[in-house]
Amino acid sequence: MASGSGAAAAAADAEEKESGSRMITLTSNEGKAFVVTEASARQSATIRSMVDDGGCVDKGFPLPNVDSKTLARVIQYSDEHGNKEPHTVDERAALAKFDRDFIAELDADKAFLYDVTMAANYLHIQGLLALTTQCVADTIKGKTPEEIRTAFGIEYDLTAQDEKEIKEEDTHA
Amino acid sequence: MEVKPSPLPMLPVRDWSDLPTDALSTIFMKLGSIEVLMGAGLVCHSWLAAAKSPELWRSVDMTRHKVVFSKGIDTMCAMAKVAIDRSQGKMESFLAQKFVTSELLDYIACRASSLKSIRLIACRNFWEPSLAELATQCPLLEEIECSGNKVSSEFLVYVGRARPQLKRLKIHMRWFDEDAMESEMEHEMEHEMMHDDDDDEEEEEEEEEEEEDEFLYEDENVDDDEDEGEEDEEIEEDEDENNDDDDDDEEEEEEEMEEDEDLDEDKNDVVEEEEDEDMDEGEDDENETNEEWEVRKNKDAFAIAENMPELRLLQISGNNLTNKGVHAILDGCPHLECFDLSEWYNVRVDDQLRARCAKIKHAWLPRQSPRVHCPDLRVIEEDEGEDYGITMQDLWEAEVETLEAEAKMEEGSYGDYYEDYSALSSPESCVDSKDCLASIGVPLLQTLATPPCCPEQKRPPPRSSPPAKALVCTMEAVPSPLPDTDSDRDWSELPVDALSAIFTKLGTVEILMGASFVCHSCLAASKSPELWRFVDMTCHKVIFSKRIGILCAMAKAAIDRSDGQIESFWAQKFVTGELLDYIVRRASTLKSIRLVACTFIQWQSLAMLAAKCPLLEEIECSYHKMPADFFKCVGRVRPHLKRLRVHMHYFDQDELENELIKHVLEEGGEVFEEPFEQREARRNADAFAIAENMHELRLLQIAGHNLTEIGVRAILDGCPHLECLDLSSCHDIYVNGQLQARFAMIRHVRLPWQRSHDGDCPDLCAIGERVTMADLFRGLARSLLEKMEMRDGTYGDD
Repeated sequence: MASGSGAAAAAADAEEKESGSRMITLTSNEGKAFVVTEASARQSATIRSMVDDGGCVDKGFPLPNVDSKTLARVIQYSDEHGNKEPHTVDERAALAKFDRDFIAELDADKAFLYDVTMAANYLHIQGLLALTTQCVADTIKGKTPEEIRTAFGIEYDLTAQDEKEIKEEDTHA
Repeated sequence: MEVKPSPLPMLPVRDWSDLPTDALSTIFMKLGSIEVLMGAGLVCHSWLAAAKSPELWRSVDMTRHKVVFSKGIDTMCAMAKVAIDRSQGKMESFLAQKFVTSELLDYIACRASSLKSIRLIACRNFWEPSLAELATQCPLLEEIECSGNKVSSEFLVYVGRARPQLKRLKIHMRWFDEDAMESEMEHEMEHEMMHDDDDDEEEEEEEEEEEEDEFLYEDENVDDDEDEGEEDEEIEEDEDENNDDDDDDEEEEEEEMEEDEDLDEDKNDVVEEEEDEDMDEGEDDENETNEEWEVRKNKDAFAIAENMPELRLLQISGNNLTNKGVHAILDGCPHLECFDLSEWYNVRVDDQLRARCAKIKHAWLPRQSPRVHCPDLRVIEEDEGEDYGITMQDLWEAEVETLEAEAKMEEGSYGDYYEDYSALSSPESCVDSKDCLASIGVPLLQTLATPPCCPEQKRPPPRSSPPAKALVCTMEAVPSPLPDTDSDRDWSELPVDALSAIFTKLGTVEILMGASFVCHSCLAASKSPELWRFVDMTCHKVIFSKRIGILCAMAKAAIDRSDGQIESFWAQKFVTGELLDYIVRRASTLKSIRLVACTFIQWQSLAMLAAKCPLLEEIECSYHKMPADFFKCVGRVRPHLKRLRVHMHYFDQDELENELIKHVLEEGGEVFEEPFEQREARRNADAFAIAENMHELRLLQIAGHNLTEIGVRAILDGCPHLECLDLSSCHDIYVNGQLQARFAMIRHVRLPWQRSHDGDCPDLCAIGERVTMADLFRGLARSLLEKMEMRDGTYGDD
C-alpha cells in the first residue's frame, strides 16, 4: 500500500537526495501509512540509522510498537522540528511555543503522554523525549510518593525487601 | 488497540510503572537528585529499581530545592550519602547547597574517587581542611566551588599543590568593602580621641575588655536611655578592633603559608601565633604601607596564580583583590577561558587590563552590567530555590521565555500552561515554604518591624542582657522604644561585620535564642564562624531554666557554626560527657575550656578532651571535685597547660571526721590514728599531682581546696612560672613568713582569708562571682514583689 508513495519518493530521489527531502513512509501497528520527509524522519535516531544503512527506504518502515494516533502526533513534532531550521529569534520563539502547546495538550491526557513518551523512546527522538520526560518530571516534582502514585495510577508494589532497604537508608544518617 | 471502547480519557489506562528503564532514567535525570530520593524513587518497585541505576547518580545536584532550606542538616547529609552509595563510586559531580558537613566530605572522599567536580554553595558547616583533604583524594578533580564562604589563601595554596591540574575554581561571594568600613572606623576613632584620651588604652587592652564588655553592656542597659550614644560608639569601636584583628591575622598567615606543607600544621601555627599578635597589636594598621595593603588584598590572587596554572575558568567574584592581583592571575594562569571579575570593585579597569582580558573568551569585567552569556559562569545564589524545586532546565527555559516575550507572544496559552504547571508541581509548596521560612526565620525582612512570633522570641525579657529587639532600640537615637516608628533604617541590612560585632557583645546564648531569628541577614551573620570562636554559655538565666538537652543542643549548634575554629568554650552547669565528645571531634583548635559547676561529667571525658586538643591552654572545672588522677592525666598529656582553675566552696573534711572520732571515743572504742604524713599526703594529693605534671602553669586557681602549706610549697616549686595564684578560702593553709616571702615573687596572689574582690587581677575573676544563681533568684523575687506592689497600688487607688 505504501508502494505508490515509495515509488514517488524513489523518483524524486535523484534530484532531491542532497536536500534531504526524500519522502519516507512510516507504518503504524494498525497498518496505517504516514508519508514524511526524510528530514522529518531523521529526527528519529532509529529511523536515521536504518536510512543510512540504505535498507528499506522504498518499502517504508513498519513501526509495530506505535499506534496511529501516537504516530500522527510524533510526526507532527518531527515535522515541526525536522523541516525547519530556526534561524531568527522569532523562529526560535515560535518553535518554543509549538513545543509548549504540544506538551500542554499531552499533559492533560496522561495516557497519551505515556504513549508519546514510549514512542519517542522507541524511535530515539531526543528532542521529543526530552520534552515528554520533562513534562513527567514536572508532574512528579514536589510530590510525595503517595501523590505520585495517584497522579499516575501506579499501584503500590514495593516488596518487603524494598521497604527494608529504604528504611535502612533512612536510618543510616 | 483499534477496538478501544469508548475511551475513558481521564482514567490512565497505561501502566506507568512499566516505563522502560532508560525512559525513566531520562525522567529522573530531569527531576534532580532530591526529588528522586524523596519522591519518585519510592513510588513502585520498577521506579525504585530505576532510581538505583548508578548512571543516574553520576551527577548529583542537591541545590535549589525547598527541601534544602526546610530539612535538617542530618537529613540532607543522609540523603547525600544515599546518593553517593547509589553512584557506586562513579559519581562525577556533586553540587550541594547549605548542608554539607566535614563528615559528609570525608564520606565522599572515601567513596567517590572518580569525582571531577564538587560545588558547595553557601555551605558553612564544614571545615576547610576537609575539602582540601577531599581534593587530595580525588585525583580527577577539575572543578571546585566553595561559594558564599570565605576560604583562606592557605586553602587555595594547598588545593593548588594537591591538584595542579584544576580547571575550574569558583568562589563566589557578595562584595564587601573592607576598606570603607576601616576608614569609617578610623574616622570615628579620631573623632573619639579628641574627646576622650582613655579610649586609646581601652583598645590596647582588648583581651581584658572582651571579658568585661558583656557585663558592662548589661549594666548599661538598665539605664539605656542615658547611655545610648556611648554604646553606639562602643560597638563600632569594637568592630574596628575586630577588623584590625582579622587583617593582621591574614598577613601573618600569608607569610607562613610560604613554607608550610601541611595545612593542619599550618592551622595550628596560626592559632599559636595569634597570642603574640594580640600582644603587640595596636597601631600597626594605621601606618600600613601601600605594598602591605596590596599584599593583603591580593593574597588569594597570588595563591591562585602561583599554584593553579591550568585553570580554565576562574570565578572569585566579590573578592577584594586589586589590579596587581588580576595581573598576577593572568600571568599565572595562561589558559584561562572564562574569567569573572564582576564585583571586584577594587580593580580599576584600565586599557592594559582591558587588552589582556580581550584575549580571554569570556571575561566579565567589574561594573559591566549585562551578564556575559556563558553558561559556565552562571552563579547559583545562596538562597536560590528556596520557594520550590527549580532545576537548571527551568532556569534556561525562563530565559527562553523572556526571549519570547520580547518577540511578542500571545499570552493566553502561556498563562494557562503556567498555572497548570504550578498547580501540578507544587500544590502545597506555598504553605510549606512559608512555614519552613518562619521556622528557620529566613526572609523576615519585612517583618522586622513586627517581630515574628517564634516561640523562642516569646520568652520573658531576661534580666542580664537584652534580646535583639531591645538592642535595636538602644542603638537608635530615638527615645521611643517602638522600632516600627522609625522605618528609615533597615536594620536587617547592616553589614555582616557590623552585625557580628553586635553579636559578639550579645553572647552565645542570646544569639542562639534570640538575635539570629530576627531576620535573614541576622541569621546569616550569626553563622559567621568568627563569631563562634569564643563560646561563652555562662551567667545567663537560660542556663538555669532550660533543660540539659536543650542547652547541649544549643552548644552543639554553636560548635557547628564555629566551623572547627572554636577557641574557647565556657559553660555552666549543663555539660554532659556526650557534649564533650562532640567538642573533641569537631574542635581540635580549642584553647580554653571552662566548665563551671558541670557536675554531670566524669573526669575521664575531660581528660580525654585535653588529650585530643593539642592547643589547650586553659582548663577550668569548678565546683566539681576532680581526683588527683585527673590532674596527673591532664598534666601528662598537656604539659604546656597555662591556666588551671578548680575553685570550689570550702568544705572542712576533718570536721566531720573529728566528730566521728569523738563519738567513737566517747563510746569507748579504739580509733586508728592517721599518721601525720598520711594525712598531709591525702590532703595534698591534688597539689602534688599539679606540681609534678604541670610545670608551665601561669595561673592556678584552687580556691576552697583542702590543701596545706606543704602542698602550696610543692606547687611553688613545681610551677616556677606561676603569675597568678588563687588560694582564697583554703582555710587549711597557715601562711607563715616563709610562705609570704615566696608569694611575694608571684604577681597576683589571693590569700586564704582574702575576699574575691580584694585581688584586682581580672584573670582571677571566677565565673559566677558576678552573677550567681542566687542573684538571679533575688532578681526574680524582686520583680515579683514589684509586680505585687504595683497590683496593690492599683487596687488601693481604685
